[in-house]
Amino acid sequence: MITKNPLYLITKLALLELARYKNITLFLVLNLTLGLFGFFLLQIFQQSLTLQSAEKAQIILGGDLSISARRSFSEAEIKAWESQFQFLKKSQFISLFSMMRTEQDSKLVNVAVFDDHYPLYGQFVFSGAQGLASDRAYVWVDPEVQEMLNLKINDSVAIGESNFIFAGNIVQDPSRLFRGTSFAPRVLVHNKYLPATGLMKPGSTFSEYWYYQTEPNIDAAAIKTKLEKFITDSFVKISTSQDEAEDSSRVLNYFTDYLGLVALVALGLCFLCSSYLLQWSFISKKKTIAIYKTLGMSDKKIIFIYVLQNFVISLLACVLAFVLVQSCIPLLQQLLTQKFDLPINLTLSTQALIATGLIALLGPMLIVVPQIIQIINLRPLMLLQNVLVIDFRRTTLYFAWLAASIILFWVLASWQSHSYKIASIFTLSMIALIIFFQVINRFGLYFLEKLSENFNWRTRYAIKGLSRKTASAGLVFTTMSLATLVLSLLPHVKSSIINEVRPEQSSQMPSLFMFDIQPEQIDSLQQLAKNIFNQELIFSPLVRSRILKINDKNYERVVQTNEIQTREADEEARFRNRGINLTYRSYLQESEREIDGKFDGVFNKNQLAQISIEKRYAARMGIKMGDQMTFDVQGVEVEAQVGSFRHVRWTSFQPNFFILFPLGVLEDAPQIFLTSVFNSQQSLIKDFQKQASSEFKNVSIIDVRRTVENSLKYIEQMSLGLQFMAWLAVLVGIFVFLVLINTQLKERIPEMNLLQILGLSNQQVSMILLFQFLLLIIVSVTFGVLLGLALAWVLITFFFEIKTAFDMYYLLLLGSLLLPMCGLALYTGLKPLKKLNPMDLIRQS
Amino acid sequence: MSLKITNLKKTYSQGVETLTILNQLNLQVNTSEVVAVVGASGSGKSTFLSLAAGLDSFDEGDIEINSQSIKNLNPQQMTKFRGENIGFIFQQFHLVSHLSAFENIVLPLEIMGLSFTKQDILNALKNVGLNERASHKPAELSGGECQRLALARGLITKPSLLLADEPSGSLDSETGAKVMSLFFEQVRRTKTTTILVTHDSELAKKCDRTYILKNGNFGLS
Repeated sequence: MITKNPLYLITKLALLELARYKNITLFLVLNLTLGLFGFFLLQIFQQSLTLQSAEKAQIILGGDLSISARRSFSEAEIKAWESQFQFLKKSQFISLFSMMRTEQDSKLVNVAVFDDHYPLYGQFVFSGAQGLASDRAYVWVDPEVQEMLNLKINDSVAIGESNFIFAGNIVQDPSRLFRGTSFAPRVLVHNKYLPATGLMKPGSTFSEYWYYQTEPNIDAAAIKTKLEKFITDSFVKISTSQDEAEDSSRVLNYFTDYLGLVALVALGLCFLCSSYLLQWSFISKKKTIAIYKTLGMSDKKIIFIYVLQNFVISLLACVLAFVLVQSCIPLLQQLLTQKFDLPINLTLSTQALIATGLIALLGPMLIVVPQIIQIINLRPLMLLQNVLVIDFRRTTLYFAWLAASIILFWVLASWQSHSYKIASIFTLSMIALIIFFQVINRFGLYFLEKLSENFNWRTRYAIKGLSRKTASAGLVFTTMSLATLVLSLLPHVKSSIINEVRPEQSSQMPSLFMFDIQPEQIDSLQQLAKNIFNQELIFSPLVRSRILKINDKNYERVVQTNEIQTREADEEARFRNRGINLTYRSYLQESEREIDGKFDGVFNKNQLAQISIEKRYAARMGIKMGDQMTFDVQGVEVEAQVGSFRHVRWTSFQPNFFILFPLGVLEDAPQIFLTSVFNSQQSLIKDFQKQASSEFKNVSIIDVRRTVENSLKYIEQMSLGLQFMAWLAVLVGIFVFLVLINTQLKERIPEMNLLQILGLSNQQVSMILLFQFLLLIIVSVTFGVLLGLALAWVLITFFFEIKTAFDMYYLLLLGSLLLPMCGLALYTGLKPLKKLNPMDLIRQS
Repeated sequence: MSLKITNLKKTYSQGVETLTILNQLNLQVNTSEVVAVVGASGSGKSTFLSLAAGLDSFDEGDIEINSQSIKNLNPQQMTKFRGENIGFIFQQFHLVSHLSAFENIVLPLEIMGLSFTKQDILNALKNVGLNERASHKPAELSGGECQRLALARGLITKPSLLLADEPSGSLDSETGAKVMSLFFEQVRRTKTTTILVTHDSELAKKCDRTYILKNGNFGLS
């Protein structure tokens, strides 16, 4: 007697069924592969980014530990903290902004001032023969400075009141792994030559850093914790190399967070499609299951068959996604380096593989649960009664499954966005959108059917094919609309931001923005502006301070730990740990709007100074109307009360501040001034910049338009990345559409044959189905695009608070790409119709 | 004469072999006559039905329905001719699942562009005892009700020829008997020329004549 292992039987049955329903198996595998592809690619990008940032952590920071502040440190302070830990080497570094001038031109630069020991880790690479040296007043510059000022080796350039010799371009700066957008390029000078520049004046904007190299076995994080307790000034920032590595890729991390969410949309849509496919194919498997049960097979074994099948599908999808991703990496690598200026070495990490594998296994396991519920509820008796309909959607198990799926999606979203808040908003929005699409689908089809009474019977029949099959029509409507919504939303947000800040489109944008103006320079600068433009400049004072108390509660340092934390907590910590700039005036600017309370503008001695706070700053800091705030204004305590909240249009590029004091409080505090210059004549602007930078050597001048153009380049690049993911979601949507056409056709072949027997030609039958699916896809895509436009408007108007500028060119492009894609899907999907044979109806009998 | 089949021959190629399914088959069915065709599995009943309905082409001979030969009709003409002249009832009902009982009956009229009133359809439903089930979809009807609905649909266009393929084959004996009793009542009342393909000899006895399909040809029982 031959006894076979039950596992053998289960495996055999599972595989046989997969082979028998090979089309469904193929659809499930391809669908999951599509969903996993984007997710996998993103994981590789994220892991490679983290890995390379971590590997180069010490080089990026320039040490194992750094202590910095936007002020200079006293010798006593430095000695005090150095007594708290052992170190091998140290280096001082100062960062400030200034104009770099030649005879012909000038440019705002970030002056990086180094000492003999800098950098403690890593090495600079320069284009000239000269390495870092201090024997002469050399200056090394970022390539764009050399290009703009047309510098040649040994040319003389001026910074502040001193002259330097151009020694070469900075080809590789170890402290900048990824160069993001910054409003001034970097130049390097030795600290021996800094005093001569005269740039370090009271109130000047600069930061001082002290880098330390410790013994290799010393825990820098422990020193940081110790120092944070020792250094009481909450505005002194203490960082370990690990902190800095994370900080250096912060913008990229934010970007990948959002990319991750868009990838989740694609993955979510793919699971929706799988869920539909599984349920659809399960209907025809019910009879087999009932037979298994009649033959004595336990529920456990039957469930195991289906779990095993899912495992095989997951495995196949994983392998396919892996192959696809591996073949795409070289192309992506090239794209990142050349187009995005991100020299990240994309490598397949175990972590990325595990993360994707887990999703590939857990996701399908979760979507098979409704079928498992049905297997449990199916009774062999139903086979005899020929009733195999099970309503499982009202069971407790079903609702528990639904809740588990939503929680899993939320966990994934939290993991991707590093924010519980964003994940919750995202998950709730997805649920709300799916419910919304389902409701719209049902009502829309109901009204469409009513409307179709006026059309010919073929149109009516095609519409009934949709309105009487709301579940399948709803699936395509939901997936396609959601995917096109994401796709059409992003470019309008981008175009509106660009429209708001793009120089040639914004007449309100200043040409120049000037800061670090000393009080005694105001009159001369005003005179210069009058001479050149015949216009008066408006100067805004800037008073550096820090918040000591809010309502008598100490405003303490938030310690930034190395532990995993949300983006909000990270943002909050960074926000609280930095100083705050104050200004004072009697009026609100054009870019400001009062939204609550009243800003009097003049200090009333009978009460505390009534200040106005920018509303988002207030919300973030938890400041309420009437709160009392105590500021440390360079050693002097100043008390004030929140008297009004105001909205600030930051994109005005005028000197804007979070906190506005009335006249009569801060006038005597150490301060510098800011101003912006509005003029459309480039020759006058150039003339003014040249004269101002040579006469007022400490004053920094930003070419606003050029800076904005540079920033827009990054917005464009990020938008491109997000759109890539959104297109992936659309591909999933189109795939769902194909699956629906295929399953519907299979289901409806007898019906189509019948129509031919009743007197319709094959062509007429095809036209009915073509019209039906064309209507579905066009309505879905149009609705998605329109909803995308509406949501973009809501987001732009109420969140970004700028004017909406729809990108019509993109809409056209979208239409011209989507239509052929849907047409191709329709053509491919309806191809089997050519093989219709009405004789099958008789043969079936 | 409603149906005249003369020297009908149908062969299928299976690899190098040629299978002759129907050979020199002759049949004449008069108007209003109800004829049964019985035969063992594989005897060619389905092929015979397909040919009689003009769904398949034949090698030799001719088929005339209402004195019109279907031999030289192109596919478009045949489709139109079938819609106008032939009604069908299938073993598996083949109702359109997303249409109501009312809409299922309306369907052939709409396809042929024939005019009708709501009352016509309600009467057709009443004739098969489904007047209370007009708005129900096939999934909400029992097997017997589905077949009665299929009968009403088959007769609604007043076809010259009704082809019924094992109408009680999917029903239990009791329901099958009730449905078939209604079937005969309706075809007799409407004087519809009918060919009933069945395994059931008792059912065949209720027809005017019974033909046995064997070795590609008919024998009269």
